[in-house]
Amino acid sequence: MRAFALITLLLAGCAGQQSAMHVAGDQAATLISLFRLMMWVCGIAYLLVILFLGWGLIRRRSAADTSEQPYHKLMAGWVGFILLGLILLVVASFLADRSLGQRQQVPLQVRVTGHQWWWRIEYQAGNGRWIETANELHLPAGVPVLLELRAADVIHSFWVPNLAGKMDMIPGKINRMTVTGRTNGWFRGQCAEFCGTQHANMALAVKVEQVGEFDRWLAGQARPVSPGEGVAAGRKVFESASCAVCHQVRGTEARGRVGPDLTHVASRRTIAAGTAPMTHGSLRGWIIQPQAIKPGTSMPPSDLSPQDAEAVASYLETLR
Amino acid sequence: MSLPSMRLGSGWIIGMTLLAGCSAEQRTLVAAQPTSPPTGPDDPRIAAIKGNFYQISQGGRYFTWYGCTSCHGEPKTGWPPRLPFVTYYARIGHKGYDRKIAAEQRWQISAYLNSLTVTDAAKRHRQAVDQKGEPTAGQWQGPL
Ligand code: HEC
Ligand code: HEC
Ligand SMILES: [Cu+2]
Repeated sequence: MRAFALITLLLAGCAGQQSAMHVAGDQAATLISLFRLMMWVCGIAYLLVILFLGWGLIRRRSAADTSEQPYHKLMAGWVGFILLGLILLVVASFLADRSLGQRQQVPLQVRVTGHQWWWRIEYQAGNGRWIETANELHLPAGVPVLLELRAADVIHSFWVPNLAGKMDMIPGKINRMTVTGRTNGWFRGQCAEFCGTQHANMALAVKVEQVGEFDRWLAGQARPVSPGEGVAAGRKVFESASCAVCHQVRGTEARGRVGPDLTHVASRRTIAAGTAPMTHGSLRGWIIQPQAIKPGTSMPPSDLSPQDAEAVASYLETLR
Repeated sequence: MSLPSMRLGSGWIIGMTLLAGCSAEQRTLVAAQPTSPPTGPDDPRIAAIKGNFYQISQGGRYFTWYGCTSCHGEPKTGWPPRLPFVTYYARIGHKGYDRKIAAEQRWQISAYLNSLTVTDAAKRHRQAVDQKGEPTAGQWQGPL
């Protein structure tokens, strides 16, 4: 009983972070109003059915009464209600779908690519350049953003319920959807198509923020690194060991494009797509044996000495 | 028992037996993959990894990711030459890769190289297409 109360409390704590009921964007608002309409129509129909059933159970038919007449009107009314209700739902869902599918001229385009098991995110920066980051999507409030959804290996699905419905990411195909964030705050997205062993640890942090704040963030992401003091040792290990083969740190010798871009890795809230919080300890643990934190992940373990791993973790922590 | 229901019963048993055959491939998810080099040509882990399709396809992925294609090109008939598993394992250490590729990945890449010498291009087509959409070391054009 106590455990139940605790779980309920804990779950209540999550409320809103990843929920289609807590609308934070225009597309989710369209969907929730469609959902409400369906709830009303179906709820009323359900109530009527139960009422008729109850009435039929309670009422006794008198022996003299053999005519079916009185019910014909009632039946006609019932059929009419169903017909109208269904037509209403069809028209409403058609209109909602059409408004979701509309392509307007958008000022900002973002590519989101699903990998096993993380998200590559690229912002269009004009003149054909793209600013790359990973596992964290920032959106300016009130601005429609066109998302280009792609997949590098298997089918994934992009789903941030507070902002919009699901859309699959399919290898060999580009799916497009527009999202407009309205409410500032952090929201949680999750891959919604089973994509392998670590599918559950493929989360996406989404932040909707004021336009000015967003512009500052994007400018920060576009910068190459300025590593802090006293981390030259870590940087050297990073560039001479395996890391640089797979990871990019713009402005240094590390130019790998296989794994997440680490140029501003420490500015993120979590590592490995929401698997562990961004702390010195989890960074060091991840560097030594990622398989212990996210079993099955395609980042291999490194055979760095504890000192080297410590130095690399300190270096990565300065990449803000 | 009547005749039709007996037939149904034996059909069911045959079906289940066939399905049981499908679950043959084991996959270990913890860090329990080989973490030391092969001890010799008779290392029992060699036969196990050579016959494991998951390990082979991971090897293909890492072959692309580590940029082996930048010098060796797309795997084609005639490359790699047919060599013993332990030789593949040792040769992958060239060009400084011994410091860059962990043992587990070297095992997987060796299994992949071995598979290239025993399958033809038609059979590999599916995996080759998959690998084309993956990043290659410093290159990422986006998925196909
Ligand atoms: C074979 C390619 C490969 C190598 C080599 C490699 N990584 Fe990774 N790394 C990845 C992949 C793929 C991911 C994403 C894993 C996931 O989330 O499942 C990743 C994730 C990470 C992350 C988390 C990034 C984030 O945004 O959450 C860090 C930090 C990291 N790697 C550091 C390192 C360091 C340090 C080294 C060198 C010791 C290294 N990596 C070597 C492929 C690699
Ligand atoms: C910088 C170019 C370069 C890269 C990158 C490279 N190789 Fe090689 N590789 C060579 C050369 C040159 C030879 C032949 C001479 C030698 O043995 O050094 C060779 C030989 C080999 C051989 C022995 C068979 C043969 O053709 O002689 C294998 C197996 C092999 N490489 C696998 C790999 C794998 C796996 C990778 C990726 C991890 C890789 N190579 C990356 C240049 C490269
Ligand atoms: Cu996924």
